[in-house]
Amino acid sequence: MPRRILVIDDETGIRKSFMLAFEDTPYEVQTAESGEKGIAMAKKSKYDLAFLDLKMPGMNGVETLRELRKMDRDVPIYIITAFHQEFFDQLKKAKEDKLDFELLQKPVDSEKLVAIVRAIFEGSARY
Amino acid sequence: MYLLRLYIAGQTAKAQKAIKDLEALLDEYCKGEYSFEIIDIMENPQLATYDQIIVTPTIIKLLPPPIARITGEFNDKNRAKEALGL
Repeated sequence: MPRRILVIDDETGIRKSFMLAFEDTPYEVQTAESGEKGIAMAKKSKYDLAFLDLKMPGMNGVETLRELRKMDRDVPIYIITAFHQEFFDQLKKAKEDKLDFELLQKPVDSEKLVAIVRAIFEGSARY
Repeated sequence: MYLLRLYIAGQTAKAQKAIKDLEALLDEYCKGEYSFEIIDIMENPQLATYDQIIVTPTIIKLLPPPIARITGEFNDKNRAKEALGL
């Protein structure tokens, strides 16, 4: 059974870049264009890893993270965002609320993305 | 002398584990000849950009060259040592 990755991002280009990056890997990527749809998918299926855009219309990344964490406290969740202070204020609040997540910088290079996912699943690795 | 930085996203239990794993790694392979800093990306994003960090957690080895960045779990010391080039 391949490891399954859920990507939630409203940008079509980002979702496509994830699909392309992992098409020749042992990992299976499924995508959702909104937090609401991503949560519905996570309710139906179990994922081994999730990537979540911070800024989305409708449910934003932090609201989606809160719902995903109610379902699964342990699955690794990476918030995709630019590394700028202005984006971190709402994430700091989420950390204060003990919501567990890691950060991935946007934009995402495909080769590095695959290396990072391999490291997440298989142990530490260079990127 | 080894110089490293560990980038984390907030002071969480996972971050504390990464710190402990890094200390164990350095104690075993660098025999006290090291210095490392812990950087919270949410407090210091500028330094993360300067060091070309794209994901948390990341260990970056700045000295001796070449620079190396690793992510993932750091509890497999042999694997982390090889990846960092210690």
